[in-house]
Amino acid sequence: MISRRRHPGPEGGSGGADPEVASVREGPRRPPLRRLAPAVLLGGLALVPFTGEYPALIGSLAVVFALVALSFVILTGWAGDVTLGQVVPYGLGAYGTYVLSDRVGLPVALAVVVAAVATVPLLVVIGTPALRLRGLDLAIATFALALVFQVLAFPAFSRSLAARSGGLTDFSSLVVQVGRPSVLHTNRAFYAAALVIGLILVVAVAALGRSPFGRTLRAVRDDPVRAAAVGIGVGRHRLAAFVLSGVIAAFAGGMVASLRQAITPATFNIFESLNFLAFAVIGGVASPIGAILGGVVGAGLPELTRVDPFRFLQGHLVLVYGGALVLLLAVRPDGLAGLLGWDRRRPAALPEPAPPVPRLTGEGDVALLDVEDVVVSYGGVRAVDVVSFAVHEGEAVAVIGPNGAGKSSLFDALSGFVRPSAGVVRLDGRDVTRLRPERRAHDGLGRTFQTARAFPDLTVAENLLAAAHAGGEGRRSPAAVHWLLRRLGLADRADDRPGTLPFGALRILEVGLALAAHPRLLLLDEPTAGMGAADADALCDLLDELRAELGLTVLLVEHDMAVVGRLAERVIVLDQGGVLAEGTPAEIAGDPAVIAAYLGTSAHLLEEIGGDRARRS
Amino acid sequence: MTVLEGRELSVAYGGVQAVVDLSVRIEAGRITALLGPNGAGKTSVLRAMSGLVPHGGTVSVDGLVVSDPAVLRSVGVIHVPQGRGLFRRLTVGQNLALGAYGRPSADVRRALADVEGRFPQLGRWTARPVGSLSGGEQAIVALGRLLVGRPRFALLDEISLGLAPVAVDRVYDEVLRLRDSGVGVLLVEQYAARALAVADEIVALQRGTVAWSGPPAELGGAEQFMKDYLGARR
Repeated sequence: MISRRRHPGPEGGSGGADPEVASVREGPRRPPLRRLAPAVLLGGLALVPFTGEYPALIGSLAVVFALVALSFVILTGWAGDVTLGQVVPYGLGAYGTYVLSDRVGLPVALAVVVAAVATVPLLVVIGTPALRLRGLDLAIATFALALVFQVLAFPAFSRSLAARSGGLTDFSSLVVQVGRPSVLHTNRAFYAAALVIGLILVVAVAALGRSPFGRTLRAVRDDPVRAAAVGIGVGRHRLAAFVLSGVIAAFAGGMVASLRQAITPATFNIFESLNFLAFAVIGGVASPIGAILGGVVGAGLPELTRVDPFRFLQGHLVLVYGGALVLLLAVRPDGLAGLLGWDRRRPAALPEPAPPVPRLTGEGDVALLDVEDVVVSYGGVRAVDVVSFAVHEGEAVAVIGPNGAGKSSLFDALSGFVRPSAGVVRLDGRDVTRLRPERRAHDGLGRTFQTARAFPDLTVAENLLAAAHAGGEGRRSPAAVHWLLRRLGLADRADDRPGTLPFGALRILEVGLALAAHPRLLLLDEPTAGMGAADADALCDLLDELRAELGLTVLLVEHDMAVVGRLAERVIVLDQGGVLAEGTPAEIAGDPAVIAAYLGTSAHLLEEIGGDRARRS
Repeated sequence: MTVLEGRELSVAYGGVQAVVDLSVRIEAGRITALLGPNGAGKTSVLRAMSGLVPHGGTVSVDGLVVSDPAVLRSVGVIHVPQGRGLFRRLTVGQNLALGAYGRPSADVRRALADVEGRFPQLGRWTARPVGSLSGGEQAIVALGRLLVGRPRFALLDEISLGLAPVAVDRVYDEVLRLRDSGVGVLLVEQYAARALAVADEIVALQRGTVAWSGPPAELGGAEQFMKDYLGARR
């Protein structure tokens, strides 16, 4: 593949108007017929339930299931957390609706809404410990929670609520009667109302997906470590998704209680929970339109088994869901919505570019980064063993040293990914030793990682937008991102996924992610590793220019002495966890201890290229 | 003389053509370096030569066409992939033994003893998981595993990536020893200066085809390539 990337030349740095870029932002257009197809098809399907009371009941159920699937879109599709316990908020919404309407005396419609919102505190209490887990562990924990509610909580609710409304027989004592708003007395009326509410919620969630919040969730899902490094509060966002998703499920539960006008604990069992996840995944777990499809499948398939050719499936629907799930996950993990091509995202629209405002303090006497006696140990091994140094505003400093000397551990300690066992890290005079990575990012500390990566499911522009939003640029961030896209030479790839970029451009995007979060101090971890010499030189030029334009201070780890000599004014040599030497590139290149421990035959490179730089400046 | 030869190789990923009708010849006891910018197809050439990707064209050892990766390995075409291809959770000993996978166990023990004789540190690290070693140490393990496989041809992909300069010196001392013991080496290296210093033959790639080839001394003739490829560096 031939790279279309343009290297920004030395003259291309002003960020002025660039008319050719504007046209690129249009993005590909689909033929109008294909764009209308989903709307026409779903619109037709939405009319079917109006043909009778029974179809309207099934239609209403489809809306309820679609809302449950929608709750999975936020939690599983975007935030990447799998729950098998969505039946818990669903059931709580149902019981809450009963209590609020029957006992408190609220109108039923209001009770559904209030019950859903009232689950928030409980969801926070459940989610805070549960979300310490991820992936399979979280799925199992939520499965156990659903089991507890199925066996203990829901039957207990039913018994106590039914008992107070007068003693009944054993079976019916577990049935709790719920009312319906009087105007929604017929199923058809109920369906009409449910359809409108459902559509509003689908559109709202779709808008949420395109909002900075949705982008941020997808970033958290794809790479929590990088997300934290650009300043995204990973735990906070996952909890927000968990709660929001739970509230939507609780709303669906309230709706189903009012639709069926009765609640039995049997409705809220663990298999229902598994079915919910199946509907969501079959429809397309990351797509709001997929949620509609999931609802149609969830309510429609059982009806299909009532007519002749499919009658043999009656009672075996679990097998059908299971089979469909396995098949879809193997062929199209993005579900029916992906299969039909209905989940395309629009290219980002960006305002006129404007450069970010440099975050200079102008107080040279306080070191921007002050590292004092830092120790990092893993188990018994001291990876960083009492290291102290300072970096002043505007400086470019390189940390070099043999493999295993503690460079990566030092970077992790500076950016907050490991906690030093002793010592203090100060940023602009403030002690940040105990702050989490995202807080340090907010305070102006940005970093890159050794492996070139970006958030794979976001486009290039969305990657930078997610970082810029977290970086607190606020309203100015889209303009700053547009500026950065041009400055990095990525404007013509703005709507492509990072996976399609050539390697050099991916490296540049990785640096761009850190820059978009608006740092004052940039930690670069082997920025040119794996790059060819021409690409590496271009990146060095770019970094040098950006340092001046954005008032950046740079601390870098690098093994290519040509790059160190080219970028750094000062070099710190680590060996066996401690500082072996510190000085200008020329001084370091002539230090026999450093040559023996690290430089070997490459000393001349550092000396010549570092000397060139010193003469130029 | 022993020769590993790729003829009219082409490799495509999806619709993207990475290598187009490329021929390359590696002789025993010589180092051939593949140079070129990122995306030129260097890694794909190595993968085709060791049978790891489906490809057009033929790979032959001493005139005998071989396409199966296991057969290529058994006749001594050993590939050290980018990132070294070690199993981080397995111990050094287990990783080394995998270099002789499929051979009788007595033979494996002998091969391991030979390699530990050459790199005494490998004996000391036997029980350590590879993931606990530093990058420089891992490179030694990768070279050790290469030797356990009894190479006649070594395909080395960015073996110095991420290493400190002294560690790179050490790795290249070993590459020269490999050559001196009669192994034919095909080298992909991002530090062009390193490759130029050791190579007997340079093959310069651009967009999946050979832009220039010849001994390093004549590289002056490929002026435009060197300018495009090496950038500002000499």
